Amino acid sequence: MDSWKQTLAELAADRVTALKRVAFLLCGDDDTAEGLVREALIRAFARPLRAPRRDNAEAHVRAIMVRAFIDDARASARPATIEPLLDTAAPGPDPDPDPDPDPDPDPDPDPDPGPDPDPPGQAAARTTVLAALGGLPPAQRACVVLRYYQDLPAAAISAVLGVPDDAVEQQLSDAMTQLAGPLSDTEGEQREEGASR
Amino acid sequence: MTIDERELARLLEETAALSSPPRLTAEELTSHIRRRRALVVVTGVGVVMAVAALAVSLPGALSAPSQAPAAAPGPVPVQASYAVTVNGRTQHLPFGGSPPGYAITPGETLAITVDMTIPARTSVPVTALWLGITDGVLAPGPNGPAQLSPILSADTRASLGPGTHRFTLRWVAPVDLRPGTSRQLSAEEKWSDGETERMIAVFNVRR
Repeated sequence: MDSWKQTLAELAADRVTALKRVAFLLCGDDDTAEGLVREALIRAFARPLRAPRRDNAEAHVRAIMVRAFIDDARASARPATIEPLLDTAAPGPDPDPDPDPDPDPDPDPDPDPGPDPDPPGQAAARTTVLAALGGLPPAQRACVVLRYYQDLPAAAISAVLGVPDDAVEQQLSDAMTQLAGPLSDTEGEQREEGASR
Repeated sequence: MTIDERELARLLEETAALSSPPRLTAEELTSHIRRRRALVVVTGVGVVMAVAALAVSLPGALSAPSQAPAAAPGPVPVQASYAVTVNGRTQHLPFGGSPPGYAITPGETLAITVDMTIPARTSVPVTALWLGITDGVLAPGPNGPAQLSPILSADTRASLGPGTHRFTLRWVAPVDLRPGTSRQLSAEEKWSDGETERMIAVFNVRR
């Protein structure tokens, strides 16, 4: 097998879920995230001499993905709209999809579900997170996702975005200020729910 | 009003887990990538200008915008095919195909003949052609190749129309090439609307 195909196969098998989660946080929409990951992978491997090496393939694809997201968001010249994923007003049987990508082969037949693993308040909080992220400019959203979800230092983020470190710090500072309102409310709600249970 | 960074990280982690499992498969991606590779790297003057404009606001995005799906289509490349003969062994590279490989030894002298065939239907001539050795990087530009080292052949006042054009090259593989690495014989073609750069043979250093 060609080396690029092997690298691609390994990425597809092991790391595409992680990449898609990053994309999901960036664009807030499952189908768009899928397309973003697909396009980034194709772009990464389409140039024979610039195909990523095995040891940096995920970071390479992620960088392409983040840049493509920012470019596309700017090119679209319209504010991103985040559709609520959940109808938090109407209680449903299972409003939250299973976050575990591996289906449980032996589901517990115990009729007592025990403590709700995903209370509606938390699901609503996540929807709020998507909406809050959607309110940020694309570059700020990318900085937040790379810093607080991917745990990248500012220097690594600056390398991805191609901007100076202090610009990244400024973007993060601005983003945190903007996120503070809606997400602080979310924190408070969750703490109250936790205290009442 | 502030938000705790650890709390934000936790919320992001939980939110990311809302995404459904990807439906992508390696087979599907491979198919897409093969088709994309067949289009060759094309950098038109208009696209270069668009990239330059983008670079003002986002210098790091230089590598991606030229392929952005929303971008205007680039110029159609000259669809040249190649036949490469190295020390008497000939292999063919159709347009959009994978470059043929040759095993070489450090210090070996390579007598190379490149036959470039431009299809009969091509109306735009190739106005410049460079052939040379690259080390993993291709980046066509309006001022010619920056990565070819050494340049084995350069015709900057060419007018190569339909037909087959032969170039005779000679390269001595450096004695310090490490076994298991490779170098590429690459060609940059320039015509009125843009440039393409492609590798036309791969020299694999014997282990």
